[in-house]
Amino acid sequence: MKDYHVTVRRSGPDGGESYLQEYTVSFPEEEIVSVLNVLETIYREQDPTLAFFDHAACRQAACGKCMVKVDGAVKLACKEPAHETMLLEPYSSRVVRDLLCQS
Amino acid sequence: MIHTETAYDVVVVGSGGGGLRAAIGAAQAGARTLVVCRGKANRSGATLLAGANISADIACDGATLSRLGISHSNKDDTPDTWFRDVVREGFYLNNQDLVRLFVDTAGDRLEELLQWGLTVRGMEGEREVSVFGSDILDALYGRAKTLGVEFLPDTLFTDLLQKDGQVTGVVCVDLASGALKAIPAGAVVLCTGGAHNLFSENSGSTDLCGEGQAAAFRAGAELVDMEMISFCPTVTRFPTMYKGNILPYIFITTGYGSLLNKYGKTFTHRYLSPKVEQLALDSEWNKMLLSYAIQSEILSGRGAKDGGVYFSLPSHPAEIMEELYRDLPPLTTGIYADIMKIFAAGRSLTVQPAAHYFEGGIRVAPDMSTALPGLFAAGECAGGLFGANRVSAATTEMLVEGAAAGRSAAAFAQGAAAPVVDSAALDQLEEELLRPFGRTGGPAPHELKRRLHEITGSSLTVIRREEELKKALAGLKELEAQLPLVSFTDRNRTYNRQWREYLELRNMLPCAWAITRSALLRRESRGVHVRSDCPQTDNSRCLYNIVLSHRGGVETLVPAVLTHTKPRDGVWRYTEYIEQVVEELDGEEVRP
Repeated sequence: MKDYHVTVRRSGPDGGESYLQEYTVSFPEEEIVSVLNVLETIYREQDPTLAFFDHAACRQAACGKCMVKVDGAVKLACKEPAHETMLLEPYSSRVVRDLLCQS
Repeated sequence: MIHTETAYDVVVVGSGGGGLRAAIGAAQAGARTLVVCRGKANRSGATLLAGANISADIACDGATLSRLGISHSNKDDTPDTWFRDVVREGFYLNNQDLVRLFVDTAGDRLEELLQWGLTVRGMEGEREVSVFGSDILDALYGRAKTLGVEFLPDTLFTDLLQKDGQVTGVVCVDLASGALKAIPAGAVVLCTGGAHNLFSENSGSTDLCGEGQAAAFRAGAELVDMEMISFCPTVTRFPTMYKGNILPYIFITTGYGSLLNKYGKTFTHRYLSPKVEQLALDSEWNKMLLSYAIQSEILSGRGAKDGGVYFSLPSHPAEIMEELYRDLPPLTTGIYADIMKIFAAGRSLTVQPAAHYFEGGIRVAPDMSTALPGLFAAGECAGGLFGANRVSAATTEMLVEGAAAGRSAAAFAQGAAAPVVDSAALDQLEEELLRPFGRTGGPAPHELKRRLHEITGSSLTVIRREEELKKALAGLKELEAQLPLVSFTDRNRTYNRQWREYLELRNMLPCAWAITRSALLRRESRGVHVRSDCPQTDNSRCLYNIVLSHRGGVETLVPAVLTHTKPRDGVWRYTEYIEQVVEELDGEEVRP
């Protein structure tokens, strides 16, 4: 198995200062996983309060809606391979909650 | 309290091609029109992913294509010839009045799209005009904006409002704020697409959860042909990053690559006669036939370790790859370039049949009205047009039905009294929608969804049998009992995914029940519905549509609408019958 160490910049739905939260998730060595796969796994297995765009997502890099800042660069979460250690932040300043921004 | 918003003449639910075309139809007829969009107005729904946004097509008869100057290769074709083909491809379960509308107005729908700026990128078949799904959406969205249609993005539709047996609006959730809204309307058009996410393995976007079918059913409309689901045969399952991607299917239809079992052998010949296998590999029928062959190989225990079969794309000789890139230029960029690296490294993709298109849905009349006054439906969430198997284009379906539904809804709204919201019903609904926020210690919604996926994955895919279907009914009943007990870890209504999954389950469970119940009632194999325990196609006893109505708890077997043409009487083995149908289609394609 291979571990992915993820730090997420979170913001509560009621405003206030953002804070960093760390998660570790594992996938089989031979897997290829996206940033979105990692976020999905955190939601299912560790933290159902983590918010990221997924309510009308194509998951095939066509809709362009799952943008997130990965180690400082804005990427599509479905198209960006997960980094072994990565910092995930909202892509804009108009944050609704955690990684979800107002479009 | 659910806040009641400004009223509209027509509210359209869904902003794929069907919803946008319905909104245009309503606005053209003078209706004040709102589109409730689950995601972004022109970038959500199934249309965007049509043909993997590489090779979507809009279908039209050859004579019209010639008149429009698009292609002259099939100009002796007529709407009547096309009608005959669609009905045969649907194994005579199609509502033939809907097929008439389809073949007679497809040309008008295509012509107007060209006027609204759609780019044609060539031809894919005799009747198939090659386009991009995103181009269809852009052309329709631009037209709708010009006509003053309003849009409510990132909003989850939950229920229909009714007063005295008539639909009077919709209830929805603003996902960002978590606010519940009631929007009164003179008429409602449902264009919510398929119920793909009932299945773990599906080729759709995350928004396709069957909310239109379920809400209509709850409110008292009828569902028809729900057992009929097309599976795309070669959808990526592994690696996980590309799960749901249909690129291997685009390769197969273009002619590239091969399907291998765990021994590295081809296998489709085991399940299909040479003639049918040829058809499976060379024509649009491949969805049904390859799904059948692949699922049979998986069930035989010769599948890949990750549950599917291997799709292999040989990278040598180099000429083949050069040819491939010439045929499919989008492979050089974006996500497709990433997938090509997997093949370049000498590896394969694991693929398997995945839920792809729902032939069944809300039962509609040819004007797209339903059993509920004031409710209309169009596109994939409506049922009946394609019968037991869709071969022709779903994009054409959404355009044709969307236009008719929008026009009909506007006419209905003009004659209707100002919509009245039943506040007692609204209070009751609010309690149900918010219930898990007030509970503790119950099951998590994603856990129920996982169990639902186990049931659909083992009982409702390509090959079905009575024992499994009965087990599925029992499992679904248990999940129905669990749903009111659900509780949330996340107590905030702002973009709360647990809440959204609870609301989705509320729609997925009745859809799954309707599919299972219909699959049990259809004791034969026909089109995309294959029963290993009933392997015959029975034209003597089974030429009926299965109609479910929730309000009366009624299941009805209604004789198929055979107003124009009838099939031969008799009983055949499934694949033998397919051979016959194919021979008839082939025979008449030969022209002097």
